[in-house]
Amino acid sequence: MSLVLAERPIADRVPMWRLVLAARDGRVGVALTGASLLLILVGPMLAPFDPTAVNLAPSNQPPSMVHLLGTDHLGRDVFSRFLWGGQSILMIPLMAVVLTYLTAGLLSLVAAYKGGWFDLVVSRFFELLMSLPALLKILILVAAFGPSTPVLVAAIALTNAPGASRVIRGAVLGETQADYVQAAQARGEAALSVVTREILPNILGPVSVDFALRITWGIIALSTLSFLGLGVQPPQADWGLMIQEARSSLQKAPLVAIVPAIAIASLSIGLNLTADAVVRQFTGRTGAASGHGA
Amino acid sequence: MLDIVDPRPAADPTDTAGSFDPPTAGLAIRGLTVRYGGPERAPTVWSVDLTLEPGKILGLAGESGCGKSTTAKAAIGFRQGSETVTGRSLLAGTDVLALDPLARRALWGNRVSYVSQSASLALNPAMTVGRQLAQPLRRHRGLSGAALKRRMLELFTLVDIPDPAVALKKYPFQFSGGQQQRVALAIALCCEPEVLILDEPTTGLDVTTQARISALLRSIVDRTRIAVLYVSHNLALLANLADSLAVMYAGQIVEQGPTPVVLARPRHPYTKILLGLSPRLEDPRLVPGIPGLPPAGAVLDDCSFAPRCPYAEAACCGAAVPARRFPGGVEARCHRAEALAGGGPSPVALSRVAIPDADPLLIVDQVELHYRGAPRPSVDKVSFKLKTGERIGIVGESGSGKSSVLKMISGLVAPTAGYMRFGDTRLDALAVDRPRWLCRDIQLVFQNPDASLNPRHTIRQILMRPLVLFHGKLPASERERRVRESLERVRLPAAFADRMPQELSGGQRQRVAIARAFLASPKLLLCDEVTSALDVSVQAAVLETIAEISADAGVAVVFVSHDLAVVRTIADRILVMRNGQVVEAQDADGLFTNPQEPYTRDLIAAVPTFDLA
Amino acid sequence: MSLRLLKPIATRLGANVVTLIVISMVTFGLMNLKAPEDVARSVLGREVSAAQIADFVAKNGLDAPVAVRYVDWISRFAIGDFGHSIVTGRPVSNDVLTRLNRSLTLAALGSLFGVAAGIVIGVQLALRAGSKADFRVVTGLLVIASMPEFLIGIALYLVFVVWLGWFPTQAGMAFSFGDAWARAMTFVLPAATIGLLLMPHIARVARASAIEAFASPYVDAARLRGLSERQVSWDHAFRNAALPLMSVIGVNLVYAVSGVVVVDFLFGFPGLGALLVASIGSGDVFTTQAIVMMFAVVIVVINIAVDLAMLWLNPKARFRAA
Repeated sequence: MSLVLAERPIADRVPMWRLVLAARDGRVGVALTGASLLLILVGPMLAPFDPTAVNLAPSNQPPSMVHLLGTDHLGRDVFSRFLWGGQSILMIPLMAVVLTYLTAGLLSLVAAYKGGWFDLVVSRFFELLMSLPALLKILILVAAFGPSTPVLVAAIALTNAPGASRVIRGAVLGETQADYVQAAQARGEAALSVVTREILPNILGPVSVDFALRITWGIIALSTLSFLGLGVQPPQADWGLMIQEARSSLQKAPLVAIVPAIAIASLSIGLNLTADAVVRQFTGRTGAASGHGA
Repeated sequence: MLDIVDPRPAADPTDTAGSFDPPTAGLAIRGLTVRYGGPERAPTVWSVDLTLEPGKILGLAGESGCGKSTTAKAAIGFRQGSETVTGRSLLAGTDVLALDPLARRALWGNRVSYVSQSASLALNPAMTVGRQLAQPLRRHRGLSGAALKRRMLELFTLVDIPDPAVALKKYPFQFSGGQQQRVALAIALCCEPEVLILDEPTTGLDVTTQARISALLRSIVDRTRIAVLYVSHNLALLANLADSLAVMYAGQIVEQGPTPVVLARPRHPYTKILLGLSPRLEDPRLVPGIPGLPPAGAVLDDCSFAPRCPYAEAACCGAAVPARRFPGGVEARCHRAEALAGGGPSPVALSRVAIPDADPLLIVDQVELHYRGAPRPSVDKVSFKLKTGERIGIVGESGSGKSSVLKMISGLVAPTAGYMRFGDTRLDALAVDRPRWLCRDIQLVFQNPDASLNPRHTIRQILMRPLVLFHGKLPASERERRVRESLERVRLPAAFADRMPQELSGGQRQRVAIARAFLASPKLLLCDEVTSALDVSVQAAVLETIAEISADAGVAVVFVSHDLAVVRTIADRILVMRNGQVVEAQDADGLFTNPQEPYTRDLIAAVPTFDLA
Repeated sequence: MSLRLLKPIATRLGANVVTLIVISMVTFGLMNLKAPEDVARSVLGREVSAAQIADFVAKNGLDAPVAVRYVDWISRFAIGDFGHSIVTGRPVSNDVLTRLNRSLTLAALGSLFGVAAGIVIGVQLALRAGSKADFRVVTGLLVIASMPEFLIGIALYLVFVVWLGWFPTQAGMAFSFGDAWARAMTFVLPAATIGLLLMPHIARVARASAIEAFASPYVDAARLRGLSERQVSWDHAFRNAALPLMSVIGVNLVYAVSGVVVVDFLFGFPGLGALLVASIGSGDVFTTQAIVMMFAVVIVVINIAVDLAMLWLNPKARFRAA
């Protein structure tokens, strides 16, 4: 007996980035993210003045040809501070999320795969961490250890940990139930091989989206903290801090606050729109990119 | 009790399918066509004519994707989205499809009722079944207070739900699957409808539950003179239950007529092959599977079955085949109906090997699996032996522990008590701790081929894995050769190696899973419900593949299934399991001709057969 | 019915009390990491004598072991005595309780606005799911959701205070000198900020769960029983959509409570958040830990309420727990 197989069309294997760019919000997201990243990375090279040099000119000057955005209350060049101000706001959350994934992420991966009491202890621990909102947790840590960069990184990493743990745990638990994982286990494959060959390729999508979203939440948390005066400390240039410093003169010089505000917003909105467009390709529906990160 | 006196005269029994004179009672579906998308797309359902008569059950059979569920919903004017529905559906002379939405809704649950496949999904999880039953009674009958309560108790008694007064206050998840379907049936019958549509109502339920619900349905139909459309993929079930039978293929009714006439002399090759494909208890042979796959929608300018039909000739292509009438009230869309009597594929027995009288390959002795916190063990002191090349079938209903036995042998879970030996080696470790050769010797194939192949790997990567793992350092060209060879052995083109699992059909995927298992060169193959996710036309071919390759290589097989007829075709010896225990173990012929235990007898009796005596 | 529910309710109450105790221990531990002398120096300044420091340490009871101080503090906290501020020397409870009142009012107003607007928008979107308008509004919601709270607040401040001049520049003044109307007005912008903070999340989840509920087989089944669309929506779809929504509302109420920190600071609103930021800045340990505990208590109360609501909405959980 010979079988004539009806030809099934090979499913479209269009790369993800093309699908994301096909949607308008995906294009806007990628453009905003790209522009923000470019500004952050290239900005310092273009800065006309030292961002921390005081009394370059009389304080609170309106924009001029020399000082494109004027000067602030200490006579610093606002434009130069703006060009430098994205460094901390990108690097600290980025380091924090990497730290989250290297610690909480790996721990949860192992716990979820192994199961048993270890998994129970790990998930209870993260549940407990979740019981206070992110901002309060960070504030307690800053109150205890002071607002230095390592503390900020650790604090943001810690607040991201329960969420990352939940995403990874959920993904891994879903996968370990899958028959192809059981098939690999029945083949006698080592745990490391099962995790890397069978599980990781399948959870990489949701996890990378989660990674991007956590960076936005880190950006939001850090800029809020700087705005409260408990994050990046003066005289460093930082977008959140600039808004805090401009707060008292919001009436007279709104631009000093508005420009960094727009920069923070476009970075965060860009990342979120991109992540959402990616999520839509995975799940066919929107909305995964909402939540408060805690 | 429910007593509906139908004031209308019963329709003339000679007025069967295809008649264009709408009967005065029941439902007459005429020229029903359903399209998704524009007119350029092939219709999902094409020009369906069906007549539902009072007191009669019309069975609508067909494989998944043939359009039978779409037909059932469209016939009562239920729209699921953007589809366009044309044709007429006459309920006592009124065209349901021409009614405005409000008028249609006044009919639903009142004069026309619908029961869907999974009652566990169709019942609102957050509402007591009593409230869900009360809603249509209040709306259509205006019942309330004591009258409502009385009627609800009456209905629950009608569908044989024990302790109706207590049951009304329960939530759906507090019932078993079979009882949930009874509740759904009670809701459907609450307003004494004239027409009842059942869409795979017992699929997924155990055979004994299925048999009880079928019997209940028959008695209700006889008592209430309701007209029923019963949609099912299970031809044997319909053969037993339905008064007349309609077979659907690619959106068209290819054959319909009174059940005994259709079964005795099928006029369409698809019907004939389907009948041969459905495994039978009384005759453990199978017709080879139908090659190819059905088209995605109705084919209008050829006979839609022609590409897969062993009887096809040139005349079958080029024009749509009209329905032809045959004696006995049968209609079929086939030019070659007369040729069916002789020739064509005939049933063959699956290949077997003589079992040498040697030491057992596998010994399972008093094995127990008791999950912590569970009230009773999932597997309770199970013992059996298996020789090289022997095939054992394990049958049982859901929760009988049959799959858990396989999981323990394959090392996915460790038994909590008892002893297992493979050759000279004890099997107590989990697979990950077993020596590699042992993992190679015992291979497992899973139920659902959608889930057992990693969606991120190509078929080549999937098939390479056992070679890399179990056959040491082979040259790359040798590995590639073996991958191709294995694909050919399961009758898939070698080019499939480059595809992703999602690009294959369910049956093709299951063949890949089987190829993967045999690439390890095992001594023992464990099959866990490997055919239950597949259509009957694919099922036979998969069984054939397993039988053929295992016979060639002298591989022992443990074949677990809920389907007695399937196990019968492949197994030399059969264990019957219930509640974790083996209730009976016999050689296959003996078990079916002379079952010893009452439970086995019940199980065998519950399987629908084509025996019409 | 009520007896059967006693056990799940007790379990949840117990778990929340344990959480509260753990939070109090960790917070107290972290707040008291510094040596007593360092605490004294950070409050009194660098140029102080050893005698002054010893006096300060003795007066504030900083010399006892941490465990003893914790037990002392938590037992007093339980009866409403939060100790004296090590900076101002005034009883902490006075400041904290008056401000707690205002902050809770603010959080409640903000949540009410955010949750109500979110649900209405979400359900309206669900009814138009897949349309162009739906896509635009969903994207708009995502944009709002990506903004830090203080940016939403600044946007409102720039528009309504700086540009339109509808509200006073400093809310705090109204509490000291203004009449009842002026005080009420101070709540508007902060509450709107908190509301806008929650609204997109609530709307997106409301939309998704409503869409999912309407697409569920039991909704089709209810239609096929001939029930009116109204009954199908309310009894079958929304009732089940409420469950995922409820857990998201819970998360957002908690978020609203922590959200007062930013709006207090931004609008000069004299609430608990402003005091928290100030006391962290000045190293006022007792005030900081009292405020954190107050927040924790409020959050635990919200969590218990949400847990009970979920239990009520989900019979399956009710039976599993019992």
